[in-house]
Amino acid sequence: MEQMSGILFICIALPMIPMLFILPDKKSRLFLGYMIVGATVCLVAGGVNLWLLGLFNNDSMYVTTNITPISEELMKAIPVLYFAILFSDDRETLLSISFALGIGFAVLENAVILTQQIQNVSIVWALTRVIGAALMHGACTAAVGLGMSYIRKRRKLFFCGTFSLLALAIIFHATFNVLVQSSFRPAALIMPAAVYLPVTVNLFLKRRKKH
Amino acid sequence: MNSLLYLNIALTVFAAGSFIYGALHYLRPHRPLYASMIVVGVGCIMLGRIYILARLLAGLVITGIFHVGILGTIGAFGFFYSSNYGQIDSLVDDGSKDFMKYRIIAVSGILITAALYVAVLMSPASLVEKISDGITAVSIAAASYYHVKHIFVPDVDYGVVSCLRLFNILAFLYGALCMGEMAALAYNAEILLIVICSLQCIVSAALIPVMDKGVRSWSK
Repeated sequence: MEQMSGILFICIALPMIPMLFILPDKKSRLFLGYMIVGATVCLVAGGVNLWLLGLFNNDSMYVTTNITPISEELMKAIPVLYFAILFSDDRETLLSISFALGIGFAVLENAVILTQQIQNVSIVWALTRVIGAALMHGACTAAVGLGMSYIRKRRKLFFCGTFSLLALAIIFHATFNVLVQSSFRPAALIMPAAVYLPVTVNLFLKRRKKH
Repeated sequence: MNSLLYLNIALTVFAAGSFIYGALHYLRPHRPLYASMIVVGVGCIMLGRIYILARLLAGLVITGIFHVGILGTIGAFGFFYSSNYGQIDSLVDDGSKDFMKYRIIAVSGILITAALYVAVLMSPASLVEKISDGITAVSIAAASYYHVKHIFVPDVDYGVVSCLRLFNILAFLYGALCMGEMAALAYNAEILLIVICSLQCIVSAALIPVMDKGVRSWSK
């Protein structure tokens, strides 16, 4: 069972690598690449989370609601920071790659949880994971990506701003984890959707106006 | 403490009201980044409260342990600090000796926060709680430095800071109230907690409308 996340990574993320060389434009390759990076981060986070669980006497409720949101958000932020420092601090690109990274992370996480809870899964469970966890991971990483777009433009804002956005993402993630494990599960679904929908509608309207 | 649950419901509602008002006005293109950052800061306060509320509703404890709810306060004051330091301070302080007086006055913000933290340190609270309160106090102290400075510093060229004085007073007061809340929780002082949280409700609800008024008069 411990090898399962590795096996799932091989089955889900590795087949995407040959596709990277087929895609025609640079942007598509970048987004797909960051989805694969997201799945890789999820694989690493799985190991780190297991170690953290042992450190906190296997108190999974405490660890999932307080510790793993911090470790996961930090790990997801590193590849975005790497891109912002070395390649580009363009806001739209950073937002897109960080959202792709979050979704890549969520895809592997969903698959791992699916194999762990195979007896209890249903269509409702799957929809819950898509609307809740996938959007939550995407939105949290995108929020951190937004802060990183200031890395070259306004250094004074970058350090504190990115740290504060990271704090925001961690609380959002932790609140989701608390709600999803409590009797207030529907609220855990509403939360990410309530953030995602207005932002997406706004982006859609903006793009339509531009064209 | 059942009152803790009701107080957090009230705090969430007031912070959410303030955040929604700000989000509708400032989380749009071509709006001052300063105001957007303050709005997101209040959003942090709201999310931190939602997290604490979720923990309480799920039957989990919030005292005696480290919990990420403190990141709501840390994030909020991180945004307040970042907006004042990154956006406003260079307009009013050119780094010359003329402003030394105001920099010294601003240190009082740090000292007041530190004095309130000493009360937490002397309480019977657990070491973990004292450390996490200490981390929160650092972010409040850093933001308080600029809040106090911008209350007293004169406007040089742009007439920006004078419009935001009331907001800076409220933000500094909110920081002091957060420190007071930590002390009340550390001493398990329920009445003090009710008083402090009631004041926090009023201040957090007023933060964005007051900032909005200031930003509107500066952009006139």
